[in-house]
Amino acid sequence: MTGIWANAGHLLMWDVMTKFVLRRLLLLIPTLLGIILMTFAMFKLTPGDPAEIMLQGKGTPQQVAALREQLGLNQSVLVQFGRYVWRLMHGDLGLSFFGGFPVRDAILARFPSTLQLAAAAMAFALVAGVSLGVLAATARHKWVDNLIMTLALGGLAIPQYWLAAVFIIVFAVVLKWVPVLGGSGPKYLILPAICLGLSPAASLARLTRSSVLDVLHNDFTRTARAKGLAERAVILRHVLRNALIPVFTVIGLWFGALLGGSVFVETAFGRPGLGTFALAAINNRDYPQIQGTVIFGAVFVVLANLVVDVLYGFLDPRIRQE
Amino acid sequence: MVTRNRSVWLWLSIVLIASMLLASCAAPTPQVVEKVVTQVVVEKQSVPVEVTKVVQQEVTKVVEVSKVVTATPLPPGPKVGGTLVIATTAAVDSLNPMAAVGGLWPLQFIGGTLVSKDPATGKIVPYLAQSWTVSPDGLAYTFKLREDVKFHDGSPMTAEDYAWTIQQMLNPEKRSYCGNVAYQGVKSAEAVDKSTLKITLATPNFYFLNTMAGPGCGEPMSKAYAEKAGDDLAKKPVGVGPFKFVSWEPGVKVVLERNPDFNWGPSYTHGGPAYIQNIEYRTVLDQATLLAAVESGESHWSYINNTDSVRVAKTGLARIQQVTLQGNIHTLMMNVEHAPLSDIRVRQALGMAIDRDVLMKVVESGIAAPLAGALTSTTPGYCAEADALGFTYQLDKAKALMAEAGYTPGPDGILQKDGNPLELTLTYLSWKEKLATVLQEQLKALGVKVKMNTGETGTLIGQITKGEHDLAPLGWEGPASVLFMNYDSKTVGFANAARVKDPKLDTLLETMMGTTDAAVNAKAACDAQKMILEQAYGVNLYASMMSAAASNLVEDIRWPAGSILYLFDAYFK
Repeated sequence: MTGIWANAGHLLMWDVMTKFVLRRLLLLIPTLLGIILMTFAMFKLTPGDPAEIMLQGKGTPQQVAALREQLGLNQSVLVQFGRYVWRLMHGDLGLSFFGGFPVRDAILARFPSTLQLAAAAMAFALVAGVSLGVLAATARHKWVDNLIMTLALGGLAIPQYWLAAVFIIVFAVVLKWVPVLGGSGPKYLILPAICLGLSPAASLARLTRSSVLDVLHNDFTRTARAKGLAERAVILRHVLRNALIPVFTVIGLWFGALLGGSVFVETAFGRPGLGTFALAAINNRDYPQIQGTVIFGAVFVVLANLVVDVLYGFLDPRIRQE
Repeated sequence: MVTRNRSVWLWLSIVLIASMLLASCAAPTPQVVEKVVTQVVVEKQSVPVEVTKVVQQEVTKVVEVSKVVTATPLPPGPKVGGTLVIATTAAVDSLNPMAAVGGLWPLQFIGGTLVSKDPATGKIVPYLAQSWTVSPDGLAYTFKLREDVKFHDGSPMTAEDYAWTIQQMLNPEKRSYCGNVAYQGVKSAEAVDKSTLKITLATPNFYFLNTMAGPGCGEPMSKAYAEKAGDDLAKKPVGVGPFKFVSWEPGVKVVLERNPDFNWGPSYTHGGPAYIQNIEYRTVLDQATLLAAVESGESHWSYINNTDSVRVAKTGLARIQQVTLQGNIHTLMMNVEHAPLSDIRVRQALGMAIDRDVLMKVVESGIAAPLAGALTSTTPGYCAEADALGFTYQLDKAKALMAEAGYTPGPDGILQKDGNPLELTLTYLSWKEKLATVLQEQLKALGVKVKMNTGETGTLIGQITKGEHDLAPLGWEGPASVLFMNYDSKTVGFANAARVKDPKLDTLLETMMGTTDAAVNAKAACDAQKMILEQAYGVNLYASMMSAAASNLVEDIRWPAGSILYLFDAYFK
């Protein structure tokens, strides 16, 4: 009988989760449509003629007119939007103004490097932030707590581009521990990951501290201690599992910030990635490249948040009941 | 009721998803460009020009085939080896010369050009072409190509390859930067025979060979290789230059290696294969990181800010190379269609109110050259005589001229005429903010209220081409043909920001461009420069300089004004 009830409970949970996931997937559609509309509007509202920009202001009026015709810029806005959406649905992000290459292929070639950097930065942020946050919470009001919180404040305040410049001068130019000119191997990842992950680490340290402090005084924690468990076991087995739930929520949000922050860090450290790709596109006013990067980034952030939300639903039963 | 509404929304959403999925399953419609518009371009650019002399005799004097072909043996000293790291902010977008813009940087070492410019004398000398003739009307250039040139895949370079390359660049469907900019004015290219290439221009251009000596765009592609490679051409180029392509890590570096078969270098080189074994071209978008790369010795050659040159020189790792840019990079264009700039006295007064020394000190930290005439001294076609007619800082004389023009100072010091204060709009691109600010202050001292107008580049270019500006600090890099771009009436609505329509000036500029006689060209160019200054169509501010740091480990890296980076004879010490 117990087995039957256990199986029924298991089936019930999956049914709830399926509906939860489906609901979140359906909400994805209006979000993506909004993103597509906004990037198209951005392109249309941005001042300047794309044809003149492509010719870098050196084209004759006849060349500009011919190029406008080629790019379909003389057609109505609705037709242009329709063609834009049609191409997007086929995964076509257009051709770069300069270089003429398919934007999608270029983004897919560079994305793994950015993902690698973002993942490394997040890993650093989680390890450093969570462990320092727990340490601060367990040493509340002592000098350790004050030191960690002061460092966290500094980590939040320091701009990434300044930190990157300092890292390069100290570690690359003066100490020569790492090369200045970037690359794509593991040794080129350390400094950029620390630079990019410092702000999220500081934020996570503060969040973990307050979350742990919240849980430390709960009944189940008191019960665990009363049962004779070692403090370390109490923290690791009982406190952290509950304290990390809000931490998990911000990871999804941080992914978006990491993608945006990667522009500064990749540029400063010369890493190939979406950040440098986007910056080169902005410098060149290469609109298909800019649009493609924005759409890709936005879709990725939305999907990342969706994954986090779904996992959050698995972690916290209260969420999937809502 | 609530449950029923939810079901309706759920079904509607499912139907929407399904329809979108079905739509995306259909074959994607490729982007097809159908219209060819070369004809329109040709018609508008045709200009009637007087040509007076046949130049065949002159051309045969310039070219001596025996001196060009023979490669001199390697002199003792330079050893083959080393990896030269070049780092700039130009991002490599493609390695297909038809499509590349930033990619032209590494491509200049992979390819070669029909002619080259001697870095010491500035003269045009043979390179891939051993000789050439120009038709009497200046429209047809016939190049006799060297027959010993080979592409990096071993196939011989022929006139058909060269003609095909140029035709591809001229094809509007390719949207080629080189086609639109470097080959602007070229009508067609054809192979007369295996080693004879004929390029026909839509309008005569005395400075056409200057353009052909430029980096990147003028190089040939192997037709057979390009057709076989298809899209891979953008990732694996093949050229005829002293360096061969090895690899490209997008966003990181392009690696080239020495071409041991290269034996057709121009006359000012040793003619044979390069001494440098490898080149690593790196893109560094951040100027601070670029400087760090130079200071750490990781980059052997990089552009640097003029203001950083002293600091870099102090490291002892690199020597500073500086060039004065060609053309008229910083000229204050005055829209002569707008009152009061239509009055020559007002234009002259503005010219005399500008203190160039202060301008150069504040904007360029003193690293610039004053520019009195219409062109910088390194520009082909520069006329030293014309400089005497340029403006000098004479504020009192400027005020007197304004008084003569009917302007009197108002209670706030701003000049006025008939009760209207003198207000001019200065339209400037964002990177000229410092320059614009100093100009505003200097013109205020004259009594002119300057309203600043800046913003997004595309918008500003649109405003300037439509003539909505009063003043605009602009300029072009290049030979004396920039004067034609800036001041000929045919370029109003395009590059002629002064909106000058002066028939006498048109005649001079078109003679300068259309003649094939060097003496006629020199006189016309000089007269045009004098007229521009006499009529105060533009106030020339200063000549920009560019700085680069060249590692002390490497010798003989040559970087002359308006030209490519010469690595033919460079070597590691």
